[in-house]
Amino acid sequence: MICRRTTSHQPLLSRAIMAAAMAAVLAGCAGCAGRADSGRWVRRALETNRLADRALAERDTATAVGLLRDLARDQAPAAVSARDGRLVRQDACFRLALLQLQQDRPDQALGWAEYGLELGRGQDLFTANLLVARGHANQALGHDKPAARDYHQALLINEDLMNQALGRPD
Amino acid sequence: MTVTIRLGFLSLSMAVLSTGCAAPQAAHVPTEVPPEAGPRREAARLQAAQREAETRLDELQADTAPDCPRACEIKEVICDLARRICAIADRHQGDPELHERCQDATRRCQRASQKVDTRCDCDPPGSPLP
Repeated sequence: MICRRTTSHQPLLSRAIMAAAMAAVLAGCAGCAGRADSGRWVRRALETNRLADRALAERDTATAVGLLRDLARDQAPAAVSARDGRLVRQDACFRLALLQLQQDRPDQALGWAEYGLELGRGQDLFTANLLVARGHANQALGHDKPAARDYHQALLINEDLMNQALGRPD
Repeated sequence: MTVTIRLGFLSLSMAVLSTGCAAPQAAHVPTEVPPEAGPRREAARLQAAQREAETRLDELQADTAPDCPRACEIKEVICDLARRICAIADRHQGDPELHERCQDATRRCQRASQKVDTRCDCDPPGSPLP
């Protein structure tokens, strides 16, 4: 998982929190589904993220993009819950959007953020991060008002997440 | 989550009592008992149970140790987003939608800071305050 990699001070949750969240999602997939195809899908998702991390460490962005693109487009088997499948694919979309922003391709970044958000929305950090990524892309394209809207929606989700972290639902 | 589901169930029970059950039962109650007394009593009992459950939920939440590293980080994210929104609003002076978003975001940043700072030490380790 990657965060805070495009500019010095982006409003995104850290890699550690994202990685923990994704690990929890994948652990949940593996524990609940109990079918061979879901197990394979979970293992492949984990392996793809690991390989993408390694490719990025070696500055091989093209390989990382290829891997993450396949994961983002890979529909989860029926045994995996719709939510878990969405989160895994949204995380891949988010990573792709950030990579495109890093490479000064805001139009591509916008495309991946939109694609991720079209998979569904929730009050979770995956949706929030996709909104932030879309906000960055919109801002880079000169679409200030949609960018502000995206940032604001992401802020509201983060407010909920903060209350959960504090143990208060208000 | 369990408590939330229970509260939902209680609310649903009360809704059923206050709508569907009242009319049919009124025809069968003894004449000395006011109509709908049974459902009302039951609704009152359920309301008391709900209040008790809410109190317990508050106690549980107060007892729960906050996840301070996460809360501190999210607070920063909220305030970063607020700054970004306001930077955009500054570039579009006179736009009421952006102005309102900036004001709302700033308020939420302040509230987030207050909430987190009362329970966590965010500078620098992100641990709960004693």
